[in-house]
Amino acid sequence: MITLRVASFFALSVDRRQRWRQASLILGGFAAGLAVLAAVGLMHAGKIASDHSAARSPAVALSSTDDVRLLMSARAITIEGFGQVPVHWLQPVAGHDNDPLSIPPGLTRLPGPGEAVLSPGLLRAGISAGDLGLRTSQAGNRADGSIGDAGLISRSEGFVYARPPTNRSLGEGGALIPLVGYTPSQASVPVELNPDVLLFPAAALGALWMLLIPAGYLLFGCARASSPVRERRANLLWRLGVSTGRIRRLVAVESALLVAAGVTAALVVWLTVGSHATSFPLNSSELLPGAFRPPVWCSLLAGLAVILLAAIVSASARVVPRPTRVSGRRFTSLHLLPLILALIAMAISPLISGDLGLAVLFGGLLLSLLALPAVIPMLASALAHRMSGRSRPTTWLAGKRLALRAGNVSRPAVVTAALVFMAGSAFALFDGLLTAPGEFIPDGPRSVWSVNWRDSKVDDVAAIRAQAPDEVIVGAVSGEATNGLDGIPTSLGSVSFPSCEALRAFMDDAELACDGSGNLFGYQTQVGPAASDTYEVLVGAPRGTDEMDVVQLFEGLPAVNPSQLMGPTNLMDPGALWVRTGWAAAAGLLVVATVREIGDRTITSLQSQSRMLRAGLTTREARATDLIASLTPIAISIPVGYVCAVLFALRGYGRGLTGFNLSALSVVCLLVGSSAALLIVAIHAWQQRSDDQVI
Amino acid sequence: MNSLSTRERSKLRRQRIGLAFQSPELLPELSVADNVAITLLFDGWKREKALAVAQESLRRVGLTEHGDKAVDEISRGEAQRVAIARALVHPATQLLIADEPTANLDAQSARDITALLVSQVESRGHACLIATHDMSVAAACHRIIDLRAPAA
Repeated sequence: MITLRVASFFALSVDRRQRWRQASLILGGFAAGLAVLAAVGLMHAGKIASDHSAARSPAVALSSTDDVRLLMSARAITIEGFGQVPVHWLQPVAGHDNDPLSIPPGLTRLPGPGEAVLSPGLLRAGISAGDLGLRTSQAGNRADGSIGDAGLISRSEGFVYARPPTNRSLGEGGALIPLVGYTPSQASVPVELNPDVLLFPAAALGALWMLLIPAGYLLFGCARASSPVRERRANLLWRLGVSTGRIRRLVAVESALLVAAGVTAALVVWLTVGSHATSFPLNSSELLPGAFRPPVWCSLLAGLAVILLAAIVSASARVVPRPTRVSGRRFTSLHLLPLILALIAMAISPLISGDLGLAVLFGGLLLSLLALPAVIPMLASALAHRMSGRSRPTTWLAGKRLALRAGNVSRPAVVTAALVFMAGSAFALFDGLLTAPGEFIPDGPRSVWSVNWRDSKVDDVAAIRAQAPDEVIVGAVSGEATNGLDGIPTSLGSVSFPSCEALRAFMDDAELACDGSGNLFGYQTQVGPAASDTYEVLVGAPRGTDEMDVVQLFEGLPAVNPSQLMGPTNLMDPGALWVRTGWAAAAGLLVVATVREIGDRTITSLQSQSRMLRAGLTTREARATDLIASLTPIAISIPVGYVCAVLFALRGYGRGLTGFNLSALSVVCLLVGSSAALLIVAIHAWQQRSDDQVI
Repeated sequence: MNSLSTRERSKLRRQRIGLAFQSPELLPELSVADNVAITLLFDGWKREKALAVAQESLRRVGLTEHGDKAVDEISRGEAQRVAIARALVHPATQLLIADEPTANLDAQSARDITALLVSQVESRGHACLIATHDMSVAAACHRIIDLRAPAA
């Protein structure tokens, strides 16, 4: 009880010199608390999305004894702003039309023949079933007939259920999937292609990477916020005979009380406003209602964890003077080990296939972020010892100062390194998700698609050509692919055009040979009628034609499956938008942490500069010495963060995950790093704006 | 003084005036010798020469063997001696200003430091201005001005 009373006295001190620590802990507790609560909310949203995804993944009939209720063909259409939108073509087996197990979640019944049920996200974007060459169904359980929340992972995603027209079916063989229905199963068809919300694994990773680790950086700094008052009182208590352990408890309780004030405010904001959010800045995705709202006990537990962590970190700092000599913290090459391991993990990740390789890559990324607090002071200390041998007095003294207090002086640089690394890696991931999928489709003078469908009829190609405008040319594919002796396909078959003009117009190339010797995308070109068994065509359209416009040419055909071969594409992963939102949150937290650390440095700088002035230095010399000591670790932090980001981008690029635009990545890292350095210089200048003084 | 620029005043202060404070105000990141040599180094002296002069200054205050030590390895009285050695290290020093130089010391150390101050300034022919509440320190000075006394 006495500990609590004395700690309260410390915490609520009205001494002006205690205000920085009070403000740091309260505001830091608020920001870190809100970030941790948002991380819990994000993971909860990921769990809801994963649960809904699993519920709408239909169970596959694995044996002949399984009761097949539906046949399914899983297709996809690329739509601007949505990426690849899954289109599930369903065909009930006779007698199972109204079987509850045949009806996907979010629907009241199966769509009628030739109809499609769209997700509300597509409707809101102005896309209707007619745009996909189908009729609108009211089978969804929302008021507008679209798919209900139970069948969605988000309110904004693109998703379609369709059913073949009356006179058509999904045919037989090929990629037709027999389904037991919508019931839990070990063998289900995965639905998601480019989900616009994070499923649980991605949400957990994002929460850790973009919220929890940056919040940790902020909270650790706040919990160790400098306070001459606290230090003096702790000193006094120690001299009076109070044990170090007791003083640590006092400091821990004092920190906990101050952080608790911030966390309580964060909890109020979270429970009243934050947890009800369904949309976020820099992100067009809309979560399902309540997805971001975890149970209240989860939020309370998260808040409590923040308070406890702050108390533990505070208590672990030095609270009383060491009776031993001031030799500074010893840094050895062992401090580099975690970062080396992290870099090795990222470097070898492409050698490991599948999800494990991805886990190793991101494990390396997270470990790098956690290793920076050990690495930057170690490197700063090593550089400081070299500086100590320089003849220039400011550099020499700055080196001596840095060598003694590499841990403390490097704290703003540690956050800067994290900021640079975070900026570079998030940029690479954003670039990769947004643009990399389209990089595999070559650009050209025209946009070209390969489109196939099921249950083809003799007149299908003629009907498609009849619907196509003049500038859209349709070539009919026939024949089988042939392989060379080495197993590599020499031809995918042939593609027939009604005339030589049509063939040449297809590629906007007047030189194309019409004698059967030409080759288009691996197909041998021919002029002549389409084969009767054609179920695939090549569609050549003017650049910029939308995939939905192409799909409309196939109105009335089942399981239309377009695949773009050439031209500009709308292919992207909407998950990129979450990277942008997450980066904004992480940057906000880390910028606050940087400013706070610089504030701490400013307080200690004032004390040390005063001592330098008394030793005989001029104000200018003391300032220069202090600035060199402060900027040296920053100069180390930028390349360290940059190297980590480049390695992540390079190895992620090998997996098709990240972009690797080295120039742009370098500019991003340099901008972020130099901004941090400029911030330090600006705060120094502001702090010392008074005229030179002579003591 | 008022006609001098900031830089000239700084230079004058560092080269001609030595300062000693109630607390030694040594820089913990430097060795004892480096602490003494610091003003010479910032005046552009070669390191070897500056350290040699600093060692000589330390010898004069009786701390010849302490040059390589860290500042937390010496006693409070020794630290105050180092501060005096630093204040008097510059060959051009003409005035030593000491602000309560014995306030934090025990009686014996206070007597030693006072004797040292007096002997140092007398042997070098410097002027010395000491602010003190300790009458035994004041008694060692040639002239005493009581700031509480009304002006004559």
